[in-house]
Amino acid sequence: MSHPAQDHSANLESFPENARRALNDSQLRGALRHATGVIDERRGQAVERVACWQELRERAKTLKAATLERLDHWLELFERNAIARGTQVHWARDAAEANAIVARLAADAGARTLVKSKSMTTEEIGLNQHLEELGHRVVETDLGEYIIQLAGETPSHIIVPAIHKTRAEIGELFHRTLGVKDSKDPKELTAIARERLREEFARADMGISGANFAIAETGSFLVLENEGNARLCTSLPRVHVALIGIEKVIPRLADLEVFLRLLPRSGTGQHLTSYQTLFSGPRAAGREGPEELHVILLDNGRSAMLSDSLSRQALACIRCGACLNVCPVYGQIGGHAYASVYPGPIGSVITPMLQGVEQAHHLPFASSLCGACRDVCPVGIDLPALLLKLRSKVRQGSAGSGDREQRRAFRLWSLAMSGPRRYGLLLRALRLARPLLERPGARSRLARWVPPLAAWTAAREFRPPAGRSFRELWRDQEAKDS
Amino acid sequence: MSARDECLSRIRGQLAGLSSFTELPQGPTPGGCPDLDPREKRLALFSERLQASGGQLHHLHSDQAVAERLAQLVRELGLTRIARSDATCLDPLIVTAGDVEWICASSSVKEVPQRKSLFEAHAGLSSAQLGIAETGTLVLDSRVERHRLASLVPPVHLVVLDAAKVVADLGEALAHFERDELPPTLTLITGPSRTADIELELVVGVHGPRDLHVLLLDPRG
Repeated sequence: MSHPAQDHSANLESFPENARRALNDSQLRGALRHATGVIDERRGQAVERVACWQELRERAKTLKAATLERLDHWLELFERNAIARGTQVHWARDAAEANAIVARLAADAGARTLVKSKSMTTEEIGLNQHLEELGHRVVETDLGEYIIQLAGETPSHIIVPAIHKTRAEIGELFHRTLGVKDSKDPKELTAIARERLREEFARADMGISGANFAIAETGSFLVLENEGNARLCTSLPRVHVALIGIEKVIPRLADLEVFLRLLPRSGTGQHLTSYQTLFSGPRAAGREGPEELHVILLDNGRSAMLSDSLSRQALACIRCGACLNVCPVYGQIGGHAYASVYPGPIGSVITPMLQGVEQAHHLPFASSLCGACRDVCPVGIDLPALLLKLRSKVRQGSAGSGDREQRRAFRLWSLAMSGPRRYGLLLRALRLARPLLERPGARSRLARWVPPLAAWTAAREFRPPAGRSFRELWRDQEAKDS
Repeated sequence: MSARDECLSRIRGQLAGLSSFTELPQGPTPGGCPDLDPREKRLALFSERLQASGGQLHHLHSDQAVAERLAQLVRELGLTRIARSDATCLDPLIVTAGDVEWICASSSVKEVPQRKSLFEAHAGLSSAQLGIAETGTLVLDSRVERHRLASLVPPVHLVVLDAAKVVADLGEALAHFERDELPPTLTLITGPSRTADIELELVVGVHGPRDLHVLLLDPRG
């Protein structure tokens, strides 16, 4: 099984084809079913133990809404306090500008090797590729990210980047790329990565991280992790650069409490991850740590999502990945089929919003609207409502003009449904056609004659009407009862 | 227009139509355990949560008991090279710990010999500034002690924690640093370094320590 490196923007168009290919990959589907099931079970158990879970969600939702409504204020406050503590703050309108800032900082630091901790935001801007083209060595140090970097792939899950890979595949990959003996033991494979990455940490000139939260009143930011690689990335090199989306800011230090209860439980089912590091400036004289601390505040389409209260909700996302694990669509096709940096329900919402619905018009439809994502979201994002809103946007735009017939069919249907007599008439008419439909081959012939039916039946069964309608059965039953 | 001004003006433009604003939530965050008294209850929860997350707790009742347990761990785990932080409270422990080569934390690990000895250390020894009962967490303040690397690079982390410094929950720990000024780096540690990136199988000690021993000094207990 191979998942070639993907240029996300180029492949957004091919979602239906990607999805079909993934559905035929039984190994991938097996791995996904196992992994998403296990993580969601752990999440459920962790959440059950918190009596006030709904209260916590409500508080986080309100907190995010209040912050985003005055985002300019909190960002300015963050900037002022960060600068006061010796952090250098940069702003980037888009991905290109953010990449250019990191590249300039790397050049200023004379950095050859850069070590990175896991950051979806750096994936979003394509940072590694940009730096590599300029001749820097960029090394991913989170185990999952290291695996997919060696494989030349992209993450397929927000929290577990190599969720689609089996231990055998990883063993073979390490054997081929690192020249070590083939192994299928996660312990041994982890030890190999630890050994190799120690050398990289030791020689790195610059560490790059993301951030989970930025705190306005203190000018600090927090990084959560389990492995310790983010701590190494931000302790050993002389320069630390953090790329932070503008939506990550929260007002007060005390506001961390609610998110520290929600995020680890939702992401991995832990009551707390192994490490949280709160950065509030470069090292003091004579202490350990980087001499320079840089923060890059990234817009890249986020500000446009502030326009109304529904789309602002999408900016409240804390990237826990819980919606991926419960999504029946993600669970069947995995993250790569979406061909967007952010997969799953939240990806189907924010990718079209960040990159434009024309580009990502398939994604809002990659959902059954079952609502499981909304139920697990720790900050109460109404994902189905957002998906529906985006669907209507796609249909209004040029991308959906091919579905005129479907629209006409739904107009007829709504006409028939608008009164009991009309509905009865339609059913009787359909029932008259029943003997015709039951003849062998009739259905496929019908689909040929009526083109809209062909499109409809391409992925669905066409069911002829039943011999007796529900309404008739109901009437009979009532007559019998009385 | 600078990138800064343009980002801010885009944000203001989008929010310009807003006429009513959501209030920031006030008051304590739900889910904490602020009434965790007496202290025995608090220490019991700290101990339970620390061990649930894979750490080991040594509940000790005198300075001498701490020194003896440290010497015992040094012997049992065969630790002959230990990176230590610069906390002076560790000085008396070191005298009695046995035959150990001590590597003292330095502000720079860029010099090769310094780094090499740190990377080859069998364990790191430091104290911690706070403990959090709710989660079994240790809090390390980079202003007080040079323990960023000693607590991270070697495969074993030995920590001395004063029982009087164990607070009830995350809220209390954060409030502690609101009153005080925040250090450049505040690190929260809950159990050993871990990963589940390969088929979700738990492996400890991926980049940080695989063993975490907390020597809880509780003279009143």
